[in-house]
Amino acid sequence: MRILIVEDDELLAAGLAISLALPGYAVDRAVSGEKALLSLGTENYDLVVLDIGLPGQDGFAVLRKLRERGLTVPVLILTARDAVADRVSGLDLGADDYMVKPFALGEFEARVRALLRRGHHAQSARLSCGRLTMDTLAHRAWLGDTQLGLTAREWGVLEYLLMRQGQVLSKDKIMQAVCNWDEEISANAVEVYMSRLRAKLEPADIKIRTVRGFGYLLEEAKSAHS
Amino acid sequence: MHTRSLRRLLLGWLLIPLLVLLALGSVGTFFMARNAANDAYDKELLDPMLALSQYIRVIHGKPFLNLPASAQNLLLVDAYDNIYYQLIAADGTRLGGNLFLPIPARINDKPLFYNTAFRGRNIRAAALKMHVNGGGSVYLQVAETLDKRDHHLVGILAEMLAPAVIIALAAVLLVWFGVRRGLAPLQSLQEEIAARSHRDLRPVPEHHAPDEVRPVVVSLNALLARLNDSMNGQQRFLANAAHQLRTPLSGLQTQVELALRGTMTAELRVTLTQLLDATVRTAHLANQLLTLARAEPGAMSPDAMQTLDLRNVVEDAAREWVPRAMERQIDLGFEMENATLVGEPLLIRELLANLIDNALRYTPAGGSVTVRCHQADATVLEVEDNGIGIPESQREKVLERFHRVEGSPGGGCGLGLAIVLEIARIHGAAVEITAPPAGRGTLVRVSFPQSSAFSST
Repeated sequence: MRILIVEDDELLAAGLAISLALPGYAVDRAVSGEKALLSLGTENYDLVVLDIGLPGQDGFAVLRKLRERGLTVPVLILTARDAVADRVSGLDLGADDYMVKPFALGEFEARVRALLRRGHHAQSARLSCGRLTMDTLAHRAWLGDTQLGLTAREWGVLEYLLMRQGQVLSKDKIMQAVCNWDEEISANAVEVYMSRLRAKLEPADIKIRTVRGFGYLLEEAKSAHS
Repeated sequence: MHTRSLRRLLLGWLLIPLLVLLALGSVGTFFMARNAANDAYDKELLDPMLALSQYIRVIHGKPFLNLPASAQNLLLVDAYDNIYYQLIAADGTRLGGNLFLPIPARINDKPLFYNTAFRGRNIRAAALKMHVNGGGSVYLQVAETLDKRDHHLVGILAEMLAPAVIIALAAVLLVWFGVRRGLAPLQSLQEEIAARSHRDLRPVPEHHAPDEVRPVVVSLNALLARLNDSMNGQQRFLANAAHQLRTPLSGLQTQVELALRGTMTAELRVTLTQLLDATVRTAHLANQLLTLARAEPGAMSPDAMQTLDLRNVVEDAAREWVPRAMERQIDLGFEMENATLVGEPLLIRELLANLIDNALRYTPAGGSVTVRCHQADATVLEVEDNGIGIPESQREKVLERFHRVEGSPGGGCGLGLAIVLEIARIHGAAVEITAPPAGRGTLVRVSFPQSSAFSST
């Protein structure tokens, strides 16, 4: 995995580079938009961490140019301005996620992992979390070496959750994702599927947390903070 | 009285002279009418005089009055007044009559009318010096009491008074309305300015103002523009300063967190942990200052207001805050109903973020925080926790900037609720801090006016 960090603040860029190098990612750094575009032209990256407030060409310009070149690499935007966050979340600028400075390192790393996983999943048919593995092409799931029996609905819900590990998902979104045009499932039904999935996943070191009155969050049990 | 009311001034200058003129006019008309009536009655008084003169005879060169009783009754009887007469010869001999008056000095052969008194009553008298053929001159005087004239005068007065009062009243009303109408543009201008929030520094529309007031409006607008500029300058400065702080703080935080992952002495770990805490607090403060700067007057154009679905705002907040709540082992839950409001999206998000952040800070692990929204008379956003709560005596004070409840934990900077209040104010919303029905903890309720009732223009 190769990551490009585009950030002109030396202290921050160095810190982020070290934190990403520790788990074994290859990290390159660029201090300006121009240099970032040069690097993007010569190397294939799995993720770009892009600061908006760059000298010269700003982050938005870099993002636009790299998308114009047809690069689909996931982009994590860093910004010091909330208004920018609003534009990134509100408009489709082609960024995959954004963080407002300053942020906790742990959160940064989690977002990076999620983006890499998403980019990875886009090419691979395998999803995994804890001891659970799902092969979306073969439509089979395993807990360790044991195959796991899932109904079509349970499969749909679990696949949706697994692709968005660590994210808070509303019941509405889950419902929309798993129901077809001609049928509707109730919020109660979602709860039923969740309790069945929890029972089936009990030995898998996976936790499906309930967010009261909102929805669910799937995470690896051992990654849960104490 | 230093405060001078334009209306009072106008009313004074218009009404008082107008009423004085009206009164003078009435008095003048009255005297003219009275004189005209007097003249008419005086002429009538000549009738008995003429008649009497017919009865003067001359015998042996001396005049005398030969008035039969029947004629006397006919001539000298009047429906209202007593009529008196006397006839005196040129040598002063009294020739007859029931009137006893001296002969006026200015008498000549034209009738002289004058007022005098007789038998204790005011009378009107006419005197005439007549030449009698072959008998020299005689003085003839006729007089009558004033009953008829007084009666007539009362009539004139009564007839004049009613219209005069009506005209005066009409004048008062017309002037009052006129002044009111004339000052109406001023009034509407005043209302327009008074209705503004202190954040609304848009120019006052000049075309509404009458010509006389336009220079004032133009000057006011120039002042508003300068005020706006200086506010914007301050805003930009503060926003830039906060932004400039964020990047180095971000670097600092990242480096300290990295350092803490290594192995080190316990002493150094304590120091680094304190350093990290201070960095996070400073970053939080910078964020809060920036938010506060954005919620200041002049920072936001009224165009930034949009109709927002509160559910969407809460959902965004859920994604951000549920992981943080889980980290602190706090159950963050939601009770959402459909609710909309007109607001500035970034600020509403900050308002909710501050409410949740505050609730999480002051709720111990194992506690719960609930975010609620619903819509009835107002759009209501509530955040309830079962944490340490805010003593009743402190509930007003916590809304002030940099006020922190004594001895409270949580590492807050004392700006959270002040920000909530500022943002609520911009949106015309009310902030209420109570204890939840269960008794323990804090319930903060923000009530936004109905979308339709709040003008976004």
